[in-house]
Order: sequence, then structure tokens, then C-alpha cells
Amino acid sequence: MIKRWRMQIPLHLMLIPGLVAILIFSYIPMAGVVIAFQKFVPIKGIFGSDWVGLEHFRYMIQLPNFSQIMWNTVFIASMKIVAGIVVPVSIALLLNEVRREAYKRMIQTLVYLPYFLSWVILSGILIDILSPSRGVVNQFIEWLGFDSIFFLGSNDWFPYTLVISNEWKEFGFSTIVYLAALAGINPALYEAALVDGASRWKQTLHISLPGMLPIIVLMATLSIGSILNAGFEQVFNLYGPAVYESGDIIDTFVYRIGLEEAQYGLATAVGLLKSVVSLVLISVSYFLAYRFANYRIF
Amino acid sequence: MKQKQKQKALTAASLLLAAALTLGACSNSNNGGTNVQPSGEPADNGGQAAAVTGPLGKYDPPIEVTTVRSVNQGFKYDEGKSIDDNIWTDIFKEQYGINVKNLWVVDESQYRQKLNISIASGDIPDFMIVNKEELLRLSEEGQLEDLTQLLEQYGSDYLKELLHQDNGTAMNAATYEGRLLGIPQMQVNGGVSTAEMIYVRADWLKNLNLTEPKTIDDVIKIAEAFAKDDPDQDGKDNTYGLGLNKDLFLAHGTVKGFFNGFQAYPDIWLKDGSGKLVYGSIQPEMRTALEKLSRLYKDGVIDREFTVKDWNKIAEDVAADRLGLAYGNVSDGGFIHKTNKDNNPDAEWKVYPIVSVDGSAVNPQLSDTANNFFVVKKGAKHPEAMIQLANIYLEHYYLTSYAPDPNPFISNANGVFPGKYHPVLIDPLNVNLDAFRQVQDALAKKDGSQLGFPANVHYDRLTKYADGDQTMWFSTIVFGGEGSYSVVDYYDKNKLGLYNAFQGAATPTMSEKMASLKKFQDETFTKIIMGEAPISEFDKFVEEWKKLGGDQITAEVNERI
Amino acid sequence: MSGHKSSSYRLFQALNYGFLTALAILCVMPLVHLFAVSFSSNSAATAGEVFLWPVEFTTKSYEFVLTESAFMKAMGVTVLRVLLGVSINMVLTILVAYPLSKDAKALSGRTVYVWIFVFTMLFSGGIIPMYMTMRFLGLLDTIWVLVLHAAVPVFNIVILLNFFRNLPKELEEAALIDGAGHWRIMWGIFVPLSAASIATVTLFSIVMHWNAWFDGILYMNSPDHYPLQSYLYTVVVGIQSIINSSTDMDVLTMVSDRTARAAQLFVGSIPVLLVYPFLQRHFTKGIVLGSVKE
Repeated sequence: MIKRWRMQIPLHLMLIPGLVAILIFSYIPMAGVVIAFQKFVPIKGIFGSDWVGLEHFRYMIQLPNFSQIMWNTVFIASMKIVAGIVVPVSIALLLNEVRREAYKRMIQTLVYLPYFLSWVILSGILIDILSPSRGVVNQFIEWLGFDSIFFLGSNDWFPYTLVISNEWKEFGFSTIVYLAALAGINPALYEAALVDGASRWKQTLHISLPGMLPIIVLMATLSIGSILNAGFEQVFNLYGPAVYESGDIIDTFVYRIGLEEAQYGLATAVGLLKSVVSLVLISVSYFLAYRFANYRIF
Repeated sequence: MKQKQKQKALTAASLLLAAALTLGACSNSNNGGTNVQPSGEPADNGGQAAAVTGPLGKYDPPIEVTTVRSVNQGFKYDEGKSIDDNIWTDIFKEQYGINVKNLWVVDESQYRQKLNISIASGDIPDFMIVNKEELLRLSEEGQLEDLTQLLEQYGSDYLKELLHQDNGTAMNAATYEGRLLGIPQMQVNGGVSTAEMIYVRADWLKNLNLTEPKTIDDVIKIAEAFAKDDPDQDGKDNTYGLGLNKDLFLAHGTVKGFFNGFQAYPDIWLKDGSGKLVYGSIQPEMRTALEKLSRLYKDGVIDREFTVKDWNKIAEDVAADRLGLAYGNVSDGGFIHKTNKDNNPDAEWKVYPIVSVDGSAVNPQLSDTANNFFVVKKGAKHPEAMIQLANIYLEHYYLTSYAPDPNPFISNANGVFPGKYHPVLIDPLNVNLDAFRQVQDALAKKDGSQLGFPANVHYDRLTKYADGDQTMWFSTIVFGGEGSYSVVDYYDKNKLGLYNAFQGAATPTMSEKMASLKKFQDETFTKIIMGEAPISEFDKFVEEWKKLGGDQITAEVNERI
Repeated sequence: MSGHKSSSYRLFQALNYGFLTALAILCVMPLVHLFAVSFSSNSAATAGEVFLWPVEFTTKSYEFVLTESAFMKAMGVTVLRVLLGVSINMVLTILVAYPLSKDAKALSGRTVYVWIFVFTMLFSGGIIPMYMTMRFLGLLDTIWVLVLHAAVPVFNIVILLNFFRNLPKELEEAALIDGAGHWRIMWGIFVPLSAASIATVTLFSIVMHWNAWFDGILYMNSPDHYPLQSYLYTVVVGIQSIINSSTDMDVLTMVSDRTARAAQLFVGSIPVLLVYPFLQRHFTKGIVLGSVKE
């Protein structure tokens, strides 16, 4: 027993620097969430502002278009979450089939590029290539014999355009973690499968995918937490009054409210709401995974 | 205890020394008309600076005041200079005995964020610039010095004159319960210069034998012809009629000016016949204007894709010979139409005042003369220092002649503009309009030698253009005889222009509901223009607007005045 | 290692190469566009004439960028920040991920520890208390504020601990029997065997420090101290507020230059783009080492 404890001491010691850092830089400032229950006025400070209880939450819920904004947020975010898993995993698997190392690396590097461009820049490019009259995409669609589509200006298309363009920007970067997972799979497993005469497809299904599974589950769980984050930067740079109906999300709306006045109380309340929702969703998936698969996500 | 005594002795000694230096300085320099009274009396804590009792004195020993600053990409410095150390800070120190310390400097786009955070954590500078909301809140908390007396005593005549150039509108907005809590920052090109105007491709007008716009119907006729009759005569259907951006009410491609032509004034408060305030966006005149726009959209005169285009994209259309008609602001020609001229030297642009339905003169709506206010922290040691700094700015920027040399505070040979470094900028509202007038006079007399800044710069550019330097075209479109300022000149001479009748910080319901209502408004207007909603939707909008808090806001606004 | 040579597999390979190539072209387009704009004349760029090839070729923008001292200074701040920040990040990431990769038997209180860390990923007090904390610690306006506020990248820790956990258990057990302590197991076995995953989280950490712009503007008291992305933010986004607020024509002309903006963005993204190909070799290294050990 004592020996077991002694064995553990270095492990606890290792955790100390990290714990101290998050205590100072995360937990102490976290006291600031009280702003969510205040009519926060900068000049009065956190300790002097008046308490308003749940007023900010009431205000949010009673907004005339709250349900619509909420729906837009969840709808866009959940599609992004699904696409954000499916696309990078598939691309990682496809890249895994590429045998020419140099070619593989080149593709990896190229698809990773858009991640580093901001939406301010990308939105300008998107508006051009998606334009119904002059855009390349619509010229192609018309060439195929269909009517051109107003991707960014129609409420029917706007959310999907957001999801696809977001994936265009992000998938290359998200693929990296899955490639790392593939790199960690024991080559002996593939060799054994080869001996058994398993096809590439079978190998993918029975070795690659299961090997990536822990990371896939982990990434899925973590991304479920962002169900209320539909991507402020992107939406803000692409939307306008014509697509408020389908594209206005919590963050853009709060931003527009904030333009009138520095609404720290409301902004913090929104942040807190998002945090609580994430915590609940992540905890549920954590315990489900533990209960049914006996697997701890983290 | 001992420590304290020692400190006292030190203070006394340094004060004596300071006094001696002051006397020396006084006998040496008799220029500048400073009224310094050296104070030999040892003060009980710290240096009681020599009192300066009127505008433009010199503090001796020097004082230090703190402030916070916002800068932008337009700030360029000479080698080794910075916002903390430049031509202004030098004279503050040497000539006036004021050390201005910037607690922090931040990019303009994040200034309010940083200011609020800094205030929340207790870092309040001696003076700073705030907006209406912050002014109201700081004053409610009793954090601001009453400037009424201070301005009276220390403000220079010119400063006082400038602050009243809009007949006291901005001063009223800064006055709460009889106390002046902030000095309004008059915009350099504020007032009538914020009125919108019409930009038209004159060569296209000629190509199609059209006359210049005198009424709304003319504008519509031009728009239709520009969209359909191949104004650039290249045989291709590649032009739009009237330029609109997705934000509707700002930058190039706004529709405010178009609406104003119908006596419709979106987003501002108006006095109705009985003297009560009403909201412009819900008046019946809006309906007529929107109906016209929706017809234009339906007829293909407005770009079908305007709902995704911000002003940047409108600028592209202008530059690429696709757009020849749009409402815009006074500076647009200098950087938007300029690129069109660079691409296509045959392009000709003209600027016209906004037009009304029947061709009679009509008021364009104007932005507030001051959105921001300079305030002084309650209990600041030298509350008057900020006013002194404003005096200093005006004294050196506008009132002192450095002829024959150019004024070093305005610009230098390296294309650097030190004027902006000054922490308390209060300008004449019409500085550029006046410059335009002076330049026109000088051009008529063919003599620009008497011109001060900024007129001399424009005069130079215009003469260069007249001598064939096409790169100076951007100056002509703005300051030329038919440039955008000629339109402002016309507005001003005919006393045209309408301010928001409600000045001051947002009312409680306004700050709670206005964002929702604005969203509702812009969404409805856009839908009506695009024909996604019939014009009858406007009536529903008005009703809903009132119900969703509009009526309450109107009541509060009327209570305020 | 070549898989089946069946004709259907060969067809798949052909399609796969085609598809991936098309995808790569799609992804490289915006950067090429930016590149083309940066070498074009401003009037051509403003007219939207530039797509993937420079129009009216000029190097004016690059002359501007390379002499713009603010740009170079900001680049310096970013490089310093990345070096310091990533080192601290990685040390803390490994130190925390290793013990947490053990099960609850080997580390009592493991679940509590994990949630203490994960909780900080979800909840934050917002910028005001964060700023006050930094002010209290006297870190404002120093490089350390940028480095320390994100010293513990919990997301990376969670990823790395999952990778650690998937390493063969036998290796650790054998080492324990040999009398090795945890420190030696961590540095001698776990870290070298996890080249791919460590390269991944290092990359995440680099990119996080590289891309962060808001903290620079918030915590630094002078634009001279901004890291590159904060500076670029003022170039790209900040100018919108100038356009909306300023009527000073000379300023407007200066800031509305699209080509200079493109050049700064382009030059500003080169270093981080080069990092990835450099780290890529570790992705295969992991396999080789792993197989040697088996």
C-alpha cells in the first residue's frame, strides 16, 4: 500500500505546475462570471455593480426573435459539428491510401492553407466565386443545365453555404489529428491482415477506423460542446439583413446589441449559458461512453 | 516617521529649486504671453504648480496629466517619433509645462473595449474621450468634473467659438442638469459635410443623351438607362443602374440620400408638426420611397445581388465600369472613383445634390456634430489641463502662421501628419468646406500663395491637375469647382440639412430594444426592396415596431427633451 | 507496402488521386489569389480584375511591407511569443498528460484532476476579470502576458493523454519491473514513442499562438508591442472603422490600398505555413519507431 503511494508521488508532482497555472489564469478570473447576474457598469466595477439576478437571461429569452436565433445557431452549429468529423476523417483515410509519400505530403500541406486566412479575406473571395451572375460555381451549375443559385443571398441556401465554406477552410487543419492517429496504429496489424488476405477496404474498416476511434470519439465529444458556437467571424462577414432569418446567430445578435452600448452583463450571461450547455453535453457523453463502452474519453 | 520627515525636507528643497528655476526661466523668456506666477510657498503635499489662470499659460514646475489614446493605420511617424514623443509633446513640455502621459494606446477599433475594461479595473486617466453612453454613465456615478466654470475661465475665445458652431446642439448633448460634463469633439468634416450626394458617370450620361438629375424621376430614368441601354457602349449587358450596398444606410451605395428625396429620414428622430419627436423610419414617406426601390429592383435596375455586397464590393463595381450611379459621401470620389479613373481614363464623374420628387430643394439628413466628448476625471489635479491642451491645438494648428514655411504641426515633407497626434482634437466643423471656398477664390485669382492649411495642399493638387497631372484627379472630384464639396457648399449656402432631433445618450428602452428593432427594420426594408415581401408589409412593420417597444422609446425620447 | 493490385483498387487509386488533387487546388486558390493581388496594381485589384494571376504586375506592395517597421516589429513579437509560449505549453502539456493518462488505480483522484482541467476549457470569467488579474500580477504590456494566459492548453492535454493511453501497456510495465521511475518512463518511452501526436499538439500550440490577435490588443498598452496578428487585425479589420468614421481623404486613400494589405497578409502567413511541412516527417517517424519496439 505504502509502496503504491510512493509510486504515485511523482505523478502528483507532475501535475502541480499545470494546476498552479490554471488556478491563477483560469479559476481566479472565473469569479468574474458574477457579471452575468449584474447590471455591470465599468465604473462601478465587479464589486460595486447592481445585482439583477436572472434579468439578462430573461431578456435573452424574451427577445422577439430569440427562438429563431437559437434555432439558427443550433442548426448551423450541429451541421458544422457533423461535417467537422466526417470530412476530416474521410480525407485522412483517403490520404492514408496514397502510397507516394511526397505527393501525400504536398496534398496535406495544400489543404491546410485556407485555415490561416481570415474570414474577412475569404468572404470577399466567396462572394465573387458564388455570385449568381459572374461566379465560377454558378457558371458551372448553369453549364450542367440547372438554374443559378444565390448561395449567400437566399435563406434556403445560406446555412448550407456556411457549413460547406467553413469545412473548406477548416478540414485540412482538422485532418492533422486523425493523420497522427493513423500514424500511431501498429504496422504489425496491417501486415497480419495482409497475410490473411484482407482487402484494402477491409483493412480500413477493421484496422484503420477502429485505431482512430478513440480520437474520433474524443473530437466528437469536444465538438459537441460547441453546439451554441456557430462561428461568429464567418457569419459576421458573410451575412446581411436579407439572410438574418436563416443566418443570424446568438453571437452576431449579441454583437449588434453591444454596438449600442457596452453590454458586458449580457455578453457574460450568453457566455455562461453556452458554458453550461457545453458542460452538460460533454458530461453526458463522458458518462455514456464510460457506462456503455467502459471507456473514459479523458 | 524619520522617512516622512526626510521626504518633506526633500520636497521643500525641490520646490525651492523649482522656484529658482522658474524665476530664471521667466527673466529669460518674455515671449509667448505666458502668465506665470512663481509660487515660493512650500506646499504641504507635493508640488503645487504655479497657477495658470487663463488660456495658454505655462505651468512651472511642469505638471503631468494622464490620458489614453486611440490610433489607426493612418498614423505615421517620423523616424524615432511616436505617439508618446512627437512635435506636440515637445511643445507641451517646453512651451507650456505640461507632460502628457499616455497610460495606453490602442487601435481605434478596440478603443471602447479597452477603455471600459480599464475603467472597470480602476484605471481612469485624468482626461479621456468617451461616447454619449459612457458620458452619461460616468456622470451618473459622479465621476466627472463639471467643466462649465473651467471652460469659461481657461477656454480660448476660438475654442469657445468652435464649440458653439452648431448653435449649441453638441454642447447641449454634453450638459446634464446644468453642468457641462464633456467638451464635444467636433468632427473635422462634420455637420453639413456629412450630407449625402449623388455620384454619376458623366460620360455615360453623354453616351445616352441624358440630362443631369433634377428630380427623383430623373434619377430613376438614369438608373434604368444605365442598367439597360448599355451606357458604356461595349455591346454587353454588364452594367447596373443604381448602386446599393447590403447595409443600406452607410458608405458608398447608401440609400439614405434617396430616401431623403422623399422627405423620409431613416434611423433618426424628427420633430413633427406639433413639436413632438417621431421616429423617421416609420413615417409614411418611407413607404413611398421603399415602393420605388422595390420597383427598381423588380425591373432589374438594382443589382440583384446587392444583399451580399458591402461597400467594398460596390467600390469594385465602380472601379470596373459596372456602376455609374450611386448615393455616397463627400470623400468617396477621392478613393473609390479614383480607382475607376485609374483603370479607365475616359471615365468622367460628376457629383450632384440629392433631389426631391418635384425638383425643389430638399434637406439631406446629417450626422451628429459630435459623437464623442472629452471628459475630465473627478478630482484630477489639473482639471483645466485638458482645456489648455485644446487651446494649444487650436493655437498652433489653426491660428499661428508659420509662413513662409509650412506649419510643422500639420504636415511635413515626409508626408506625415502630426496633427492627429494631439490628444485633444477639436476642429472647425467646416474646415474642408472653408478650404474649398478659399481654394476656389484663389483659383479664380490664380494666386494660392496666401492660402493656409489645408487649402494650400488642395490648391497645389488642383493646379497640378490643371497642368495635366492625371494622378491628381482625386483632388478634383472632391475639391474641384464641380467636386463633392461644391455640393456641400450648395447645401450650406441654402441652409439645407437635417440633424437628428434627439441628442444624447440612449434611453433605457432604447438600449434594451433598439438592436432588435433595427434588425427588424433592416430585414423588412431589404425584403420589400427585393420583392420578397409586398409593400403592405411596411404597414405591418410600423405597427409591430410600435408594439415591440417603439412606442415606449418614443415616449421616453419625448420625456427627455 | 503496397496493397492489393486488383483492378478495382487501381481504379480507386486513380479516383483518389484525382479527387485529392482537385481538393488541393480548391484549397490553394485563396492563397494564390492573395498572392496575385499583392503583386497587382491597386486599381486593378479594386476593380476585382485580379483572380489567380497578377494584373499590372508591380512589387510596390512588397517594397512597402519590407520597409514598414511596424510590420517587422510585430513579426518579432510573434516569433518571440511563439518560442516562449510553445515551450511552456509543451512542457506543461506533457507534464499533465502523462499522469492523467494513467488509470484511476495508478493515480488516485485522477477523475477529479481531469475535470478540474476540463472545466477551464468550458468556463471563463470573461475579459474583464482576466485583465484585472494580469494587471494585479503586473504582467500587462509584457510578452509574458501573451505567453502565460494560455499556458495550459487543456485541449492539447486531452488529445495527448488519449494518445499516451493507446501506447502498448507492456512497455511501461517492463520498464517498471526494470526499476525505472515515472520521470524516466515519461521522457524515455512515452515522449519518443509519441512523435506524431506530440508533433500534432505542438503544431496546435504554434498555430494558437500564431493566430491569437485579441489578447495582443487587449493586454498590450501600445501598438508597438502588438504581435503580428493583432497588427494585421488593425490593417484588415481596423480600417473598416476608419472608413465608417473618418472623412479624411488622405487617410482613406492610404488605408484602402488592397494590394498592400494582401502583401502583408501573405508575408505574414508564410512562416506558419512552413511549419507544417517541417513537422510532417514526424508523422511517419512514429510508425517506424513503434514497429522497431514491437
